[in-house]
Amino acid sequence: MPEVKMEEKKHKVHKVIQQGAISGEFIATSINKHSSKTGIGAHTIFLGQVRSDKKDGKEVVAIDYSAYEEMAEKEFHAIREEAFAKYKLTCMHIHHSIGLVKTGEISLFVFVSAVHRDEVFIACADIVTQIKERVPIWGKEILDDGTHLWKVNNKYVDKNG
Amino acid sequence: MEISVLFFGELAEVAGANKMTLRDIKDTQSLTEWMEEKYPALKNRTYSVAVNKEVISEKRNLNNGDEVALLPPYAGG
Repeated sequence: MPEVKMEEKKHKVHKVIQQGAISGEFIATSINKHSSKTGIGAHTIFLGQVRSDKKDGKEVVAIDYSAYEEMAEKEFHAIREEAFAKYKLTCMHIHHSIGLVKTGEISLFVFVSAVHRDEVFIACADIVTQIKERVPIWGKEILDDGTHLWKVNNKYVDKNG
Repeated sequence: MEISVLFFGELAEVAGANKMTLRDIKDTQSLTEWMEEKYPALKNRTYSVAVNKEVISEKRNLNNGDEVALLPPYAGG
């Protein structure tokens, strides 16, 4: 039954978490891999970059990410399945770093593809929000004096405030 | 009866450990009470509790081999 096989392939469990920063080369290769999927008309890419926040006169120089890995992968998979059910997507890829990622480097890469653009804009924003709210990942912000703080995510603010 | 408890993020610093094994704790409420007594700094922290990789919202009975995790607010991305 080839139809069933294709479905399984599309929804197979991908490992999302990878060690260290996500390189520009990795992202470029990922884009290039889609040139054979000619049914796609639109991609959206979200890249989360480690920001050099200032905290009490000190500066963030890196984030050391850690995760409850098994639960995180389970949540990433659930987010992925739900997004496929909610939106008409051709494919989707999520990559998140653990370990040390320096400021200016990429720690989150979300790549959503579909036939038309409307779907990918909405889906990508939704997926990033879901990741921030549901996936057990933490970030130790390393400051320039060698001390650290724990990263706090801005709460998702909807149109009602 | 034995359960394992995992600590993540800032809570691993509070507990001074990533993992510990505890005996004869009947439910999640007894567990958090025990933890907050042992590590008073936990009382001032926001965290959720997962049992076998699922976040719970109400007290849950614990069984031999269960994995409980104390999860500070997520900060992915």
